[in-house]
Amino acid sequence: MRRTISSILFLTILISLAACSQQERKAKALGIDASTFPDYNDVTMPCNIAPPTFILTDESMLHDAIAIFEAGSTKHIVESDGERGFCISEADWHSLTSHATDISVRIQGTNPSGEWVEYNTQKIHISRDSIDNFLTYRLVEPGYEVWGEMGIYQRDLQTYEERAIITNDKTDGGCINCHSYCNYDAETMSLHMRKTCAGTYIRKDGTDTRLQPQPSLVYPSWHPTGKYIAYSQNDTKQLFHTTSRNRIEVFDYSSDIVVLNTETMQTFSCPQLTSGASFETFPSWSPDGRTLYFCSADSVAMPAQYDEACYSLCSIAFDPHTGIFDTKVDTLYNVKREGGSISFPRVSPDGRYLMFTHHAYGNFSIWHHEADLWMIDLQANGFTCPLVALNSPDTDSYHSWSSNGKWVIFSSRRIDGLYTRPFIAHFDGKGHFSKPFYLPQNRADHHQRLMKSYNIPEFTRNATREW
Amino acid sequence: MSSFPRRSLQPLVLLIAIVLSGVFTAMSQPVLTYCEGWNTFYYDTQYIHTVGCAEAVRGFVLQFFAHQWHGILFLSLLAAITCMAVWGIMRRVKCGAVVTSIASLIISLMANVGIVCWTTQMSLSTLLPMGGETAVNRQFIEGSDMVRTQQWDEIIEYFASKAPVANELHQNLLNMAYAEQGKLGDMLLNQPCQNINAIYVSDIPNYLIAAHLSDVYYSMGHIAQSQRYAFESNEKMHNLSPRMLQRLVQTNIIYEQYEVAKKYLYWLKRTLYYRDWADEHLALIKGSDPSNHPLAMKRKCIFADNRFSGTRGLDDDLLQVARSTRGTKQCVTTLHYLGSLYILADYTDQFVSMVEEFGDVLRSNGHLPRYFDQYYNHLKRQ
Repeated sequence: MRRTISSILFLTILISLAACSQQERKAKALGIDASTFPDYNDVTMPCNIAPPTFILTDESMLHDAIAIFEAGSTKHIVESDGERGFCISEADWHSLTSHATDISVRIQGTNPSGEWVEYNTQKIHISRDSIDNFLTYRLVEPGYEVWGEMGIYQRDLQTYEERAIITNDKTDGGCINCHSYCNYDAETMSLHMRKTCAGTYIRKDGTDTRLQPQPSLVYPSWHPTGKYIAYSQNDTKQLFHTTSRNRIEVFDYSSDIVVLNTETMQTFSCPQLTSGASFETFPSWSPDGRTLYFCSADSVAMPAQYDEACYSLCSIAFDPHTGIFDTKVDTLYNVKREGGSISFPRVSPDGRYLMFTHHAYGNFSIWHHEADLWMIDLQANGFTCPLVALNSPDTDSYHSWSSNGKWVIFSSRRIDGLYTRPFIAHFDGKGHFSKPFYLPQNRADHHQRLMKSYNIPEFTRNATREW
Repeated sequence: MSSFPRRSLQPLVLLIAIVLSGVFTAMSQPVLTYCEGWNTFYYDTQYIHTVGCAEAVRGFVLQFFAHQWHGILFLSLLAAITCMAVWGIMRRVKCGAVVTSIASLIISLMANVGIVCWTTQMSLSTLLPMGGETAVNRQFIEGSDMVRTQQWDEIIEYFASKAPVANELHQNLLNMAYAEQGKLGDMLLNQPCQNINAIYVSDIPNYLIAAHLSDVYYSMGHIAQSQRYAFESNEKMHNLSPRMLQRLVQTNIIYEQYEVAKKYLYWLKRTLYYRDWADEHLALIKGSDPSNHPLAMKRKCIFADNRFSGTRGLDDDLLQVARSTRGTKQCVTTLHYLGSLYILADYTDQFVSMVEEFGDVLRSNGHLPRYFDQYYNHLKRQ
């Protein structure tokens, strides 16, 4: 008797499961593209990244929707969750990406009259160029001054695992910022804290060192040898616009560039980087360590002339053996002649391209809706152009190259104009980028739920120890 | 013999427990309603993960105080359940009828008091209307609740019984109610207002005062400052304070930042008591005619001449708001604030200039508001 009941129960469960599981149907082609968020159609993703998740945003069309992921003979069917989200499992995704160069995604479902219909097929291109394993970023509310919870986190890009490196509940609520790595090595890094734990912290050769220089050291750039770190020393303030769509303006009353020798823990500079007549900021080393790029503007009265501070892109030669700068400063992008203002110069690992953020004025581009990414070909007479493939009508700013130079990650406010999100794009090494994609998340509605911004996304090859 | 009194006593004890709990909760209700503004329950797994179980339980209890009678009923029901549970336990251990009754009553009431103290994280002296320092807090809380629901008459009536109103935060609330009714210029110096802190306090020691300032600036028509303080305050509450989320929805709709507003509405839709409000505002974003909506009126406060908030003085910002809202009720409210700030700061030239520019708006039956008139005539005589 007991055996009979168990058998009936087992069969019932089996039938229920079979009834629940979705399968591909013969569906009428709608002939239109599915409206999905984030948009992964026609993007190029690295073969070693976590699977994309997305929502079907077209509320009127489909019920019981399924997404059919297909590559060659491998096929996986994913049912939508209660909120029209599609989340393919990591195992299924990696079974598709392991060999394929293209993954097709077909979305089917029933329309209001109960008929099975299908949107146009989406394609996700898979590149054999792998991406670095880890991404470090700060999660912080976009702007404002007090009471915020923030932290620096590290994301394993092959999975969705996110781990806190340091959060400000451990530092008396003070601000934590300016994380920077040497040669993509998570064990050689620098970060900055304010309030009771104030100081610049340097992790190198297994040792953590705290420095408390005044003014504090920000916007770090590690020299490729690990011996030097270039910093900016800025007297920064923020004010709130009454009317402008750029809610906040962050500006410097003064700024200079210094270099820290990590062996002696002494700083040095040169008159060209510490001029009282100009603001120098955003230092960035070339991959060979022989050139320091930076941004420079004529010093103007702040805050009255905040929109007249326009930063040109400059460079100065450096001898890593002697630790001495040249006396001559080159101007690669002269804003007096070409207009706008420059921030965040970053040279590609092969040393050929320099990407920067271009905006109307000032230096704090994340609050400038007109900010776009531009690039200079350092080997083609400084040919400079906006990166149309990457830019959006809203803010596109802070960017980092992957260690192999095949990927770039950047911060964008294209989704809602306030909360910064990381987007990744493939680079062909010849000046062309593919369509950028939103960093894959474990929930399809991740963007809507997260009330913080991603700040300073930086790749590393290995994982960082907790501070 | 022993079971007879128990049976007849049980409904009576239950009734007394419900009444006692109901009375205590009703007395604490303004505080509970105030706390609900900072913490409600979101029907979402990530919410529990973000705030932790304890905060989620607090939020679950507090959510019912979005509607005061729902909250009182909920806690009374909880007291009734506690009473019945204690009754059952006492019966099992065969206690006498009187002991069982008293124990059931005391434990259920204590449980109710404990829950209220824990969810509000306030002492009994603040929860119950008593004298001293706690009464000052209690009055601010009650006033702030009324500001949230825009009960301007009730605020005036409430503080009228407590005159003279010497506390600056209380003055802020009362003056806000007067300004909203276009009476501030008539009533300003009826209370011992010493300086501009009577209009808006300058010290911002915590997120509660930041939220209060968001209300004051919103009333003034200074939307950028209102948004700024709402954002700051919301940060402290895991970005999930329903009161601040509502304010941020309003300010972002005013600034036509609809995608940001949708983000906050996404969360409010996951609550029991703000779902309808969220749907109404989503419809507004999606294209319902907003012309008669209060937010459309507030949009006029965004003046064309962009500047950094306060760098030319708050008064100059408000002057721009008054100019851009001329012909609306907001203009009158803003001018009452502006004139009062000029009087309290003794900005004579600016006051005269304001009266000359906006005399037609400020005069009622040919007269300026009482204290504006007195100050103006005093300046003219000089």
